[in-house]
Amino acid sequence: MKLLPALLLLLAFAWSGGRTEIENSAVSFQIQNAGITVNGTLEELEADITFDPNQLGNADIRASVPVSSIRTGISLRDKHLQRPDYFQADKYPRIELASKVVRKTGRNKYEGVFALTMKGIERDVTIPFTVSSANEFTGSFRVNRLDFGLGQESLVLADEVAIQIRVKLKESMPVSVR
Amino acid sequence: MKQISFTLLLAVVAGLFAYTTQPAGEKALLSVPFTPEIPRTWDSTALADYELPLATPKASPKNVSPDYYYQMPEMVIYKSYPIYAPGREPKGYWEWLHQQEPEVVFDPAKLKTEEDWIKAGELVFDAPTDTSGVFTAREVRDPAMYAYTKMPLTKDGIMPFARYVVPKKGLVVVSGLGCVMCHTRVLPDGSVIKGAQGNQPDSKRVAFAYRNYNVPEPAAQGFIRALMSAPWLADDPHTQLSKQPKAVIADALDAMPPGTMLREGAGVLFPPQIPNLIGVKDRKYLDHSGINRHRNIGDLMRYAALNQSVNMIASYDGFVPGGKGFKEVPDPKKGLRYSEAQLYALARYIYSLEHPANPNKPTALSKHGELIFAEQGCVTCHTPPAFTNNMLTPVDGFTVPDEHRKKYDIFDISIGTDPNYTMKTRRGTGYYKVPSLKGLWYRGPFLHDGSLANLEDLIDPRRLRDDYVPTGFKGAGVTHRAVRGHEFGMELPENDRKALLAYLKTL
Repeated sequence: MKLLPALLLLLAFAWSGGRTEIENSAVSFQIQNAGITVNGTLEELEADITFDPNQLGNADIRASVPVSSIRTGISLRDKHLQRPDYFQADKYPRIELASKVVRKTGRNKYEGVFALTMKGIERDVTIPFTVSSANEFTGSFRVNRLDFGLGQESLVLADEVAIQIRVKLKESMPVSVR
Repeated sequence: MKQISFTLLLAVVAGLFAYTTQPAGEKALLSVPFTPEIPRTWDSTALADYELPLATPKASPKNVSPDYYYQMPEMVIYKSYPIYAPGREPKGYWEWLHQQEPEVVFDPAKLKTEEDWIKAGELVFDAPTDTSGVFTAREVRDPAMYAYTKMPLTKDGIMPFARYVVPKKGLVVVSGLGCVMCHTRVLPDGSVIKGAQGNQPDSKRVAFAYRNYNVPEPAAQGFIRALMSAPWLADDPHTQLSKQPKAVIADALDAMPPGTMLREGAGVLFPPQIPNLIGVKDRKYLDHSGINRHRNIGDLMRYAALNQSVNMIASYDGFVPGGKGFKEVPDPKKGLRYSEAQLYALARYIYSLEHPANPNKPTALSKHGELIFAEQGCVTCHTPPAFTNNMLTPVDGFTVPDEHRKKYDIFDISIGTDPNYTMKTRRGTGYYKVPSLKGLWYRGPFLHDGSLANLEDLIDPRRLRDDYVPTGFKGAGVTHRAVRGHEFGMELPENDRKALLAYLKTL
């Protein structure tokens, strides 16, 4: 019984602001440029996740990635994306996502309203996502880059960006999925 | 003897021919009665934000006032005559020229239709703003000059970059500093494209004169100082050059390949590639450094006015290039300016220029290249249909001021090309504008300083090595150097590179 207080303490830490341990993750995006799909990635995702399917009212999902990790296959373009006309990485080094409301939409399926912050601009986005029994969160959504001051209107570059996020937490993390 | 101008009969004929290629609807519209609304060129409000500040803001030019500008006499444009290379001139031609009466050919009262204005604009394009010795009859009649410079000629043996002018009976002079001098290209088959990136070996011509004619050394030194120096820079390279012996200056001039230009406010050491005027209507900034904005036809008129002499009497932190002692603005009565009608006609003519028919038709290879062009992200900067996004890219060593982001079209990434032109000249803003790729097939050399003679060189990774021998501008005494920047397409597989080049040559 002496272990119980210690275990509760550990859980409390894990569920209330301690960094969630991630086994692996992937953030990818696509945007049309002159009719060609440009594929990009972001890495080094960090997350703090409090998620109990039975207590969605308490769900708190926060994730962020550094802008510096953007890769699109063209190094000069990646460098340009750091500049003030795009992400202004020196002032806004991270892209952040924080849940506001989460609801269940089906077996292992959820939908959350998240505050997405890029370049210091916060916008609500609705993200449908799944959570597997192996603690893997997967969701996708679309944003208009101009809503976040990312670049300007362009004849060739689309406004809409499709984004996918996959986060696999370590099995030991206190996320239970039913 | 100051300035004289004149008409060009063949140019008019050429202009007429050009119009036969226009769609019938447009052609008809150009023929209806037309009263132009001519903007005021030297307008204080328009001039206030016409020029970008220089990379060294305190040296940004302070131009003469409208009051001063409009006190300058207007140019008179006289009839002109072709210059034949030695051995190609019709027998008795030179003597015949001396018997001709002067004839004023630009008369706005006679211009009734848009077509009239455009044709008259070609006269302005061809007209000199100098007949006092920039280009001399001695040079154009000297076979040695042609041999030294490898001066391009038309099929008829005409040297098309200048004309003979008869300002008074018995006096035949050579026109200089007209638009035609730099913006005319002779193709290998001897055909001429007006408005294109020119290929007159102008700097070699001047070097030839320095080496072979009795040009006083101080004149050569003063020429460099007035045209090129930027004295606010510590150890300004052109001020240093202006103190060198004439032979050293000639070496520097000789190093500039045709297709770059000996231009006031720019550089011999950092020469500007001559821009293509064809398609300029779609550009938002003018000059490689984007120093002048192009918001409307009035801005193009201002550009022509500035670049045909008025920028020589601006004050750059107290330095007046064309002023007495490089300080005092001269008496306006001794100056010269285009009339408002001439500038308007010139601008209309330049807007009317069209690329010549491209002999490179699309193929399966070029279609694949078009895909590569998109995949590699070239389209982001070289955006169709103008094949430029009309933006300005900062160079290494220049920090974009925050207010520029609001005022100008900044594409905030350096592509790593040589920054000297835009950091160390009187035209330097800290930016290079994104150039259009239209008409690449007939242009060259490439990059803002003409370092690369061929399109193929741009995607040749060997150019990044220090032992590379530049195919275009190298610099005096330079045998090899890397040509860095705009390092795209170099990693592509060979077939993709060929495809990309094939596509670019169809533009």
